[in-house]
Amino acid sequence: MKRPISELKRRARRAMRGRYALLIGAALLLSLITGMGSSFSMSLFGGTTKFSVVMGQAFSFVLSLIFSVFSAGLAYIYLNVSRGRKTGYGDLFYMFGQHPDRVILVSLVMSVIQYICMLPGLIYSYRVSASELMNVANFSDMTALLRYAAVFFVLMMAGTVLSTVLTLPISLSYYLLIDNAEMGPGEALLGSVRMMKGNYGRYIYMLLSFAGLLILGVLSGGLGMLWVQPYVEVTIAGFYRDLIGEFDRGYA
Amino acid sequence: MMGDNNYFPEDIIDEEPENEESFGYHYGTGQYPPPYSGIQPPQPADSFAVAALVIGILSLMFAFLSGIGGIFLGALGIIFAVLSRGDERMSAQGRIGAGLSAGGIVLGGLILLALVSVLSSGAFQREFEKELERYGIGSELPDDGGDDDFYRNFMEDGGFEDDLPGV
Repeated sequence: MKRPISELKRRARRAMRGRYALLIGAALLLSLITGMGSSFSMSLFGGTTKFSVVMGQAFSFVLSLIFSVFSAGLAYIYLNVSRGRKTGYGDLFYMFGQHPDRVILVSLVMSVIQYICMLPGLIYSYRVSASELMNVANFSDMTALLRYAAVFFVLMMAGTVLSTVLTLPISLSYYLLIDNAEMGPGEALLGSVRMMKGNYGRYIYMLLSFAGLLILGVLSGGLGMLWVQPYVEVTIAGFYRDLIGEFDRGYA
Repeated sequence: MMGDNNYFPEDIIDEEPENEESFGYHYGTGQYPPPYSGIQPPQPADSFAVAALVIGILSLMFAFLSGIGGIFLGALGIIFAVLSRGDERMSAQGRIGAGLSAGGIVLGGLILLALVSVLSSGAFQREFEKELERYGIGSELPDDGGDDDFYRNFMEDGGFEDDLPGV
């Protein structure tokens, strides 16, 4: 039986009670790890030459694949919270002991899709000449600044929407890898596509139902996102559990 | 199709839940609350609802102070009010908190709008330029070296006299 989204959200709120410290702490820890990776990448390839830009992007891409194992660990924490199971910060490293290559390969597919979608925006940002950037930085040419910001914003937004739509069918792959230790990356991707078939509308509706809270999260200077993001993720974990029929078997 | 796939992890069976509340008697477990003893236990105040109420009050206060503070805290208050709902409907504290927070956002937005329109008005800018001129911060500095030449004195004291216009 397909549960209504309101029920999945209610279950998520109930499961998260008393566990916000862990959920927020784990997400912050992951942000810290990825932030340190980005800083490291910037310090290694921080220049503006073509070589350092390409190398910096390539290095960031490789780092993002490694960090995806932590992201899968965070998904494991969300799934455990949804199930009312014991979980802790150590579970961020859980997938390192579960054939992390599977996670990296799934993440590679997702990242390639996302990078291709973001490429127009990235190329545009790098093509703006140094002199133009100086003008922008000095605010001496407001028209150029506005044009630069508008084109960059439109390209990045279009890329984000496109990548979200394209990765929608494979969005449950991490959960399948977590629950099935022997499952290969291809099988997980195909399994997710199969599970999502006929459920896209419900999934998109679920994501859109968080739009109000996400806007409030932004309005609160990002502070509210610390609570909103785990709520979204635990609800997605509940959506996955609904699709595998876990609730039908009497699990809360 | 849901429910009839092979992805159900069998290892979760017989797993002891950590969060007793989520596996309590409120939903689908077949268990029932303890028998009625005649005395109703006091309902524990939900921390999110209390936080929403406090932040809602603060958002109204900060809306008057700066505008942006009302929006910032109001948004946080509504988030807490929404999360204070568990299985049950939002508590009275949560509802009041959400209302106050929404008021904080609206008031903060209005005050911010008013502030922006005042700051960008011609009359204010003329007054502002007059004030700048009074302190010698303008396109041209008065060269009388009077006591009210705040800017010139400040720059000279700081050792930045070379940056003064006309030097």
